[in-house]
Amino acid sequence: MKNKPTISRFGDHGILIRYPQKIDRKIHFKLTQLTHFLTREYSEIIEGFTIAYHESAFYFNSEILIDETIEKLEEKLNDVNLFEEIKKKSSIFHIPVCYEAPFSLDIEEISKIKKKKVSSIIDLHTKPVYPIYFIGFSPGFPYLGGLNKKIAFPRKASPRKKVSAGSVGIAGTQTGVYPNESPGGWNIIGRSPLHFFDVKNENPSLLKAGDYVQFEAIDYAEYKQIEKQIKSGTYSIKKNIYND
Amino acid sequence: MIEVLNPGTHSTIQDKGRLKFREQGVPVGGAMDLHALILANHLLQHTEIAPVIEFAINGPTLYFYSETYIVLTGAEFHCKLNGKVISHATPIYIPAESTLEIGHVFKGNYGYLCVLGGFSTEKTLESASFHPTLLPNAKLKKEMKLVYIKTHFNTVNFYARVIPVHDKFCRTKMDVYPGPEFNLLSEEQQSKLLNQKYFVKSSSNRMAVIMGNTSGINAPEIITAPVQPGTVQLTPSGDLIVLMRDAHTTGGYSRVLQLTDYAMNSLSQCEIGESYEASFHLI
Repeated sequence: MKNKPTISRFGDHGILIRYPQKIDRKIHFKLTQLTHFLTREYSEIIEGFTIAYHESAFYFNSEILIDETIEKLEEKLNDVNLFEEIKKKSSIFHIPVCYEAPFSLDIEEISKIKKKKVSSIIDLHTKPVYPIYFIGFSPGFPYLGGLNKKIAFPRKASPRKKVSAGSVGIAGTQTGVYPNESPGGWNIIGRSPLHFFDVKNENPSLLKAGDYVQFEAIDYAEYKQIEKQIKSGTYSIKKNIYND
Repeated sequence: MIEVLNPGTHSTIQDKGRLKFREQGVPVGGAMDLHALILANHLLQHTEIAPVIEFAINGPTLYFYSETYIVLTGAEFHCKLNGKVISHATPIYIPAESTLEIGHVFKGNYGYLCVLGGFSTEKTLESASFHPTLLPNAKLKKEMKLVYIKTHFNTVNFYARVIPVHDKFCRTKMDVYPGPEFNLLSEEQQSKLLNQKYFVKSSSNRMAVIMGNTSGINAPEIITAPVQPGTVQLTPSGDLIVLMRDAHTTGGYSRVLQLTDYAMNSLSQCEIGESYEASFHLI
């Protein structure tokens, strides 16, 4: 591992690990590997952590001495073999999305302004494998990379008061899913019947940093069928090991 | 059991919040003044921190069906128990069929009511703290019932009393660490940031305290990165924002300073308006 991250204190109980300031899949991959390793290594003394594009923050129990922990951590990161040991496999989630009315509120507008058929917008949206950089902004909200620039579209001038849970949207060069009903300014192009955030689960967020997402177009009837299966607990999410 | 006769301006159930789910986008939440939460619990000799009611501006009016003890901590409000004024920061015996009126605040922002043994409240993600989508029921509403666990007890002797120090609410000096982007500021900008006397603007809430009388410096946006309660953000237009308990877990503004836990509790009680001074002190 060539470029080692910098380590610094972040408040009374926090430590920040920083890679060069870039939205870059390679940097994020290293960060994810290191973050998973450290959360396992320090599971007994960490109260929580946050991961983003190029930085992770670790929040320690109040009795832990931060300066001492930083020293130990620096020693640990000098171990060149560390990154050989910690390679972890990623998963890819196949997310069913219905790009039809009544869910695709803004797809016609994008089609008109971009002068692209609705069907080609759907093709361009379902083709890429999107890396999940992190979950932030609100519970379960994924920051995905890799939207095709041909369907990039500016945020709505005034946000909707209510966007339904599962809505799939585009804002600028980003795409994502609203995990909960909330106000929002993204252009909505479809909806997924899946539950992206469920407090009843041990890990409430369906998606996590370091995994991948690919959207799959379904029709309204399939949407309703999957919705029913989820309700009765018979639906299983399509998920595979993914090697980048 | 308590029945809510009047919920007050914004009264919620709060504990220490949700610390373990930040990587899933869950805000920490919890009592704005954690010191007051812990103090209230200690005064009732609780071995674990039980959830409390947090209130602001106008407190709730509550009817107690059965006898218990309570403690009020944090900001001071005009409080009457069955029409009689009661003390702050000391255990108070509540006879059965009592009405507690928590009126308008007169020192600080956030007040706390803890009941002996704690309330038995609903929890999501290991916390009873209010959140609009995770736990919407943890906000007090008229006719809402709150069950307290300990309804039978022997007469208890509580000796502890805390005398509040009023002055801390008038001049708030906040100990801070340099934030991750502090070094992007020039020396002149750093000293402007640290030597300015600020005040708390009225647009402040449980997500963020907005500082007024900013020092005319600004900082560029950054690639979205981790933030936490107590992170001080400086925006491209020169706004200075101190993130509080309900803040998001990541943010895209320069993180110039980071408050200590103690400073966060003090700031939460720093009153709105120019007659109250707030400043930073680098440690």
